[in-house]
Amino acid sequence: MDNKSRVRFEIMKTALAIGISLVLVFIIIFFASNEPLKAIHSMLAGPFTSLRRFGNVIEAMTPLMFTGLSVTMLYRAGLFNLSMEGGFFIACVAATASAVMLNLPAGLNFMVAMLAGAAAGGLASLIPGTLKVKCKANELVTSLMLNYVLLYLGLYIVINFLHDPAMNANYSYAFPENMLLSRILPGTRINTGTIIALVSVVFVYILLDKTAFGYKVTMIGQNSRMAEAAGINVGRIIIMSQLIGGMLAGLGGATEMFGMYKRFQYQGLPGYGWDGVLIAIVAQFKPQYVPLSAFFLAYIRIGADIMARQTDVPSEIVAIIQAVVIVLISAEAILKGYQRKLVVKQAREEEALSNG
Amino acid sequence: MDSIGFDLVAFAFSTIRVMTPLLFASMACMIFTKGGIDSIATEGIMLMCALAGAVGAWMFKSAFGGLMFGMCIGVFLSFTFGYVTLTLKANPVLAGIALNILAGGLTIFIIYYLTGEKGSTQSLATPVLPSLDIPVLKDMPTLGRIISGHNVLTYVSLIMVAALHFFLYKTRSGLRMRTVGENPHAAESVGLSVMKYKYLSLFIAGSLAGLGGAFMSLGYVSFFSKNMIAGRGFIGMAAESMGQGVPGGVLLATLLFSVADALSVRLQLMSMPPELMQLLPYLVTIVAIAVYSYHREKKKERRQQTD
Amino acid sequence: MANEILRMKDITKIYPNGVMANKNVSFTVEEGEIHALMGENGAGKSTLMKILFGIESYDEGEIFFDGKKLDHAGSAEAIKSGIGMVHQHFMLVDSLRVYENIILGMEPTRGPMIDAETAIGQVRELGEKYNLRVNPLARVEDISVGLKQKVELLKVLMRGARLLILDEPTAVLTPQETEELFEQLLLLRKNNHTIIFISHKIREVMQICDKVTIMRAGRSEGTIGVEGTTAEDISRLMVGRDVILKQDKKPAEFGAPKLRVRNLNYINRFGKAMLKNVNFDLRSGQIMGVAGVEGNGQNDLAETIFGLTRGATGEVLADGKNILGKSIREIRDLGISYIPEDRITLGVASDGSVWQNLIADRVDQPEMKSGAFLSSKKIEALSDELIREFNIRCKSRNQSVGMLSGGNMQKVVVAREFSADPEILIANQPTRGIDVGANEFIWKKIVEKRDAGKAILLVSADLNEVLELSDSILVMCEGELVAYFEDAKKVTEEELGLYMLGLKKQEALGHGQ
Repeated sequence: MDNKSRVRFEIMKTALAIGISLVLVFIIIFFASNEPLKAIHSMLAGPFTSLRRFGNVIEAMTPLMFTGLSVTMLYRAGLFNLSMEGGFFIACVAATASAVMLNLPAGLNFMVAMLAGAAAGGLASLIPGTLKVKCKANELVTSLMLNYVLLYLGLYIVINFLHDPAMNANYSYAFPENMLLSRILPGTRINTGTIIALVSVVFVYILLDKTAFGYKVTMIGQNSRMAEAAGINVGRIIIMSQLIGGMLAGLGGATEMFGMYKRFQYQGLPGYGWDGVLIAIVAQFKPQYVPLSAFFLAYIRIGADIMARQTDVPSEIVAIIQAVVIVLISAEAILKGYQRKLVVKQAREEEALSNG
Repeated sequence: MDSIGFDLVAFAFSTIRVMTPLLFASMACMIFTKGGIDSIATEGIMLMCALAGAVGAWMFKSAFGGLMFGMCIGVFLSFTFGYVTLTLKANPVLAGIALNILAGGLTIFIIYYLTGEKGSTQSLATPVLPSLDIPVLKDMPTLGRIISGHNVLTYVSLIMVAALHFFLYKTRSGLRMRTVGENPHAAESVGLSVMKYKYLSLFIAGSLAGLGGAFMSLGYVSFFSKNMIAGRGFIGMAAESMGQGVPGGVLLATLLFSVADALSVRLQLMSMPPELMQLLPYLVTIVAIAVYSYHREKKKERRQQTD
Repeated sequence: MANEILRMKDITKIYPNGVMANKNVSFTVEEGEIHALMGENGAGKSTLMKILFGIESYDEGEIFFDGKKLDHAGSAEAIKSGIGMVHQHFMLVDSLRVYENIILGMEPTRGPMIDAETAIGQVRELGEKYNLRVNPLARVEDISVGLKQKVELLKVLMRGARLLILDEPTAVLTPQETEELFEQLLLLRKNNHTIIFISHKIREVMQICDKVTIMRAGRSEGTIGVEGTTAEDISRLMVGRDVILKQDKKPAEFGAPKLRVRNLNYINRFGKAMLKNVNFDLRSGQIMGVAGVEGNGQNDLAETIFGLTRGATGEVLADGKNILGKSIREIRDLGISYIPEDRITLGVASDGSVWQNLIADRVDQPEMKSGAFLSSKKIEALSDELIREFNIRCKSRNQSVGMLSGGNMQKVVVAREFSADPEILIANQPTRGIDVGANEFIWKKIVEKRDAGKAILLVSADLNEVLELSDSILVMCEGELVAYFEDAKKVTEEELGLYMLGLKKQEALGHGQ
């Protein structure tokens, strides 16, 4: 298959996966709910019924774009590094610490806090990446373990150094007012964080598609032995890709803190890293599709929240959609017959071309 | 010791208590890995089985019924994972992540329909598995207080380690399962069915994850609450890795996690920060895996040069 | 007359990609003989044996074993009828003990347990009987290659095999291990076992086989008794040219030495010496062919020079600088290019597009960039130019390489490596498995490079290629250079065959000094 028909095939597979998952969920709602039509309606149309609700979709999209980009970057080099989950969390802590502990001038304080978040996330992903390259340690297991190290380390820092005694729960001191990202659409909480996310999308797109570095990462992911034979320094590029991937998750954590919260208040891992896996898969590991894919997940999430408030169907039903979509898109055997037909057709055309 | 608030006997007792679900998890991961199957889905399977245990016990009015129901669900999910990865050829890591996400949401969805709440099944009256006093031991001064009086499944989990060792290293099916997991071509070259033994490993690992999950809601506590597995499945993966896939080693690695877990609870009671203690076993695991992998690589290289 | 135990009749096998691996092959083996199956790589020996063992299907023909027709639905039937196969790549489980590997699938049990004692006893007894002594309790990962092969033999014998197929059993063995294996095979023959011995080492065949069947290009060239035949006869049948392609070229004008190889030694991870004290010079304007039966160190030579294989000792001097131990990037930057033996694993990324594969070695160079970014305009221009110049048949530069035919895939590799404008080009099997058109094209390009004064090292198992393309020829056998012909025109393929098969050796090689 050439690129065009491959893209067509992938789009069809993604659409089919989303379609099947939605139908499945509708069937479940039909059996589980007393008012299934109302439930489905509020899930599908809910987010469009008010500006505030639509704003909620955009707000929810923002951290998803960051972790989606992060997973895209981490996976491009062919690694299963799942540290974006812990990286996002520890970046929130690092950004919080920087914001409430350092008494820097307003603008500088913000820059430093964002950088602290990115650095923390980057360091997090660097660990499994480096262990993979230097020791051949399975990055899947080490990154899963690392997530817990980061969780407890983060909680330790928050509880012992950043805790606001005025609060009962383990909340940090409030961020200085001038740290908060400004709202850009009245009536919603949409803030400049969304713009930072979109800029990051453009950045990652350029990095992966327009630079020698991105090219090398892609080639390593496709065939690392060939990349090595072509003279590419495989180890160094892998480590750099993991660093950047982690930094994206970290930046997402910092942005989420200053965009949506007044103080640090997570009690556990927020799960955006795992969401990033779905975002990246649906986006076919291409940064330019990440906003669309993040919009899809944010939309059904907000839709499901509205449905949960208005009917008797809980919002957690979204998990079914997520799981089914991941499995169907990643299952190679599905649509294989169709794919083969395309290949055969292509081969015939090629033959006709070379004979003619 | 008691004067500073640290009761060694109570500590040892609670170590054994917290070890039980971890041991089921790490044994499940061990069997998955031995059969050549990715074990990342253990977390989600256990969560679903924790709910299945509570719901089963409520439906059948029997804790044992709940346990069996949990096991059945464990095997069903494990087979589903096997079908999706072996037949539909989905990437096992992604499929595992999908199953974990599904479990997180679906369990809440189901308890909401059963109880009207999203947090737990406390409002459902469910029987729990009994604790067991061991006749002679229980009267022994210190040891009795540590070893006796645990939940039935705690003893089952310990017996299970020995049983699995026996199965893997002494029986025909165990040998064949290890072969299929390590080198399917070798199995084919002597006419063994690879799929058959893959599904055997899915069956055993699914049952173990089912038992571990059901224990959480039928013994560890007496109800299901959301996300109650809280990473135990992942700890199982780590313990499997650190124990290098041998039942005894995996048991020791699991014990390490349990000690740290129990210790962190104690420290908390003594108003000391427990978080650093909690992160320690994860950190040790990362270091252990790195060192072990490094040595394995070096050994391979050395062989290349000197052989 | 001895009893006929196996008759394969008119076997034809066509692979899904259209390659005809066996064409009407008939093959008969008599009971109690050691029967060699010889031929070059790709001659169809392994395919024929996989068909016999039931792990490969066939399109036409019949198989009779011991008078009964075999239907073949997998290896289980073959095993049951008494056929066993020792594969070239061992089918053993490393972490298991020796006896566990041998009894796998037929474990003796006592109650629910494997009866280890009985099993170990059985293994010992069988080992005694056939003089295959192994420690049943050792772990397979800890034992040598030679012992692993004994384990494989025992595995097959344990299943009651009367006909044993050994697929190139000596390829991984040291000379001592080979001798030992031969004694065991003779013992097996004495016990009335029949052995099919796949090999392309003529000396070994002469040493222990009773008969030899020679295959070439999927056909059987006939069966002859070893007694009363000379190695030369077999050699002639085996290494004749199948397709004769001709290449016209101007007389060579050798310049200064570009690449000097000095005392190059390399021992591979199985402990086998793959390069033994290799010395030669490659000059500008010279195509140096390296001939040899595959597996005699030619690939190791090429990969060591290019830095893909590490751990060799000696010197490789490119323009006076020792490049042994340098990174591939450094080696490439010194003006050395490489066409790998296996294009799928080392030559291309199949999922990548044509243009991605064309620029893999030069993505950091300024001519690919504008400012800090890759210039798609420059890359597209270069790709389209290379596609045109090297006549790569693809829909566009965006088509993924995996969708191209083998010949076009190889042209992608050739286009990349040639357009890097190397001073030294290492071409390792540059035309393997590709169509005649692409083959001729790549030859033409190689000759153009040589006429432009570049130095070319051509490693090839294809005699026709070596003879037509090379200006000078080196012959390798068992890791050694056994012959050097300054003028390739002065050697015939028959003579080359004698050197390749180790029947002749030049003393005191001058190595083109």
